[in-house]
Amino acid sequence: VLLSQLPANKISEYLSTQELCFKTGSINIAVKSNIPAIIKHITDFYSHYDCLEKSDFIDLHVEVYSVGGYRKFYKPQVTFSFDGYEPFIPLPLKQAPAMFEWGLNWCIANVAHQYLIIHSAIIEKDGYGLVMPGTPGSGKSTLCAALVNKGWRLLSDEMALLSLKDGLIYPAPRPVSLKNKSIQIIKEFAPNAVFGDVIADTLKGDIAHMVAPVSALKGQSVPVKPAFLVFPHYEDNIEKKLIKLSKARALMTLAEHAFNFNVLGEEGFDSMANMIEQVECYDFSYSDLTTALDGIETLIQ
Amino acid sequence: VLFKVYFWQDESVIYNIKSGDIHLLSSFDGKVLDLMSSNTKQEVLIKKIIEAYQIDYQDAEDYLGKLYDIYRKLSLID
Repeated sequence: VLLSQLPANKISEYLSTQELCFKTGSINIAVKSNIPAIIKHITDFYSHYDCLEKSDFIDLHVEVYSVGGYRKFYKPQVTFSFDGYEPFIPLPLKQAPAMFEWGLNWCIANVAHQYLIIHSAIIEKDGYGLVMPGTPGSGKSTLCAALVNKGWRLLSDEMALLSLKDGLIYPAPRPVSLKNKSIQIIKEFAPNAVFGDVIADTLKGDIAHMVAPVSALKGQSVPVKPAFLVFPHYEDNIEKKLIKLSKARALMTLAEHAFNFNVLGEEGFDSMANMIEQVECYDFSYSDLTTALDGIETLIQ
Repeated sequence: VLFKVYFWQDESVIYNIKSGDIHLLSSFDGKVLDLMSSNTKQEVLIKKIIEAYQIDYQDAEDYLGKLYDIYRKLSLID
């Protein structure tokens, strides 16, 4: 059963009175919240996700709620809790959807140690997995959003879950988070893509979420073998450059993007090295999105 | 065992099992480290350095001495 198939008002009722449980690829989530913006966010962005029963195994129990006290009357705030622990300071209430998404990312990065978790977009086409690690501002989410609107399957725009067992990358498709200039660029590039409201003035600037395409959810149980590792770098006014990277240097750089490399130790190093063995590695600098996409698409040709 | 090493063409990456640090080395220096850790005799290592770099005995001995220092500092050898 999809969330959208629940009887009217059930999403809101489950969220505010108990928990709403749903599956995002390999991660099962239970959410509780009585904040209208969160109810709207989940209705708008997660309606095509599979609903779970409370008796199903849940990886993450999270709650997003308004901070109480007098503050709620003059400067309302939202906070995020995971199993009763609040990892972040509260944020302005209007940033609740962004906090929810960031909070889920934090939880996955801190809990899902059956995977080596790489700060990376991960998409797939024709069986080729493309891993694009990058720091904020590198353009990985922009490239990812554009490519999934050109038929690539989204596994995640934020983290690649590399299984320690089989070396495959498992999907956890969620809304694509775009920032600042990228919002307008992707809105113009993909006029049919569905976006939420722009959340202004967050710690990362202006944020807008793009709904994950239905193709991402259809393939949410299908892992992918990584084939290409591309480190994107967005810069103003430069020529597109796709430069082959040595495997050793790629491994050194990849380690900087692994959230839980230190937690996993030797096992994490072996997983990374084994992945490096099977991928082609590139540094990719670009300015213009259209020519950048051509550069990426040539990889699988 | 204090480290793991992966070789690719002319480069290698060393993982220090105790500290979790990783290091990028030339493939040759990674192989020398591997040999050091298996208690290969110094004379054998010097011979390999002479062959690899076409240098004389004294320079090879100095080179090996520097590698020992670096690898000890990085806790890759005892």
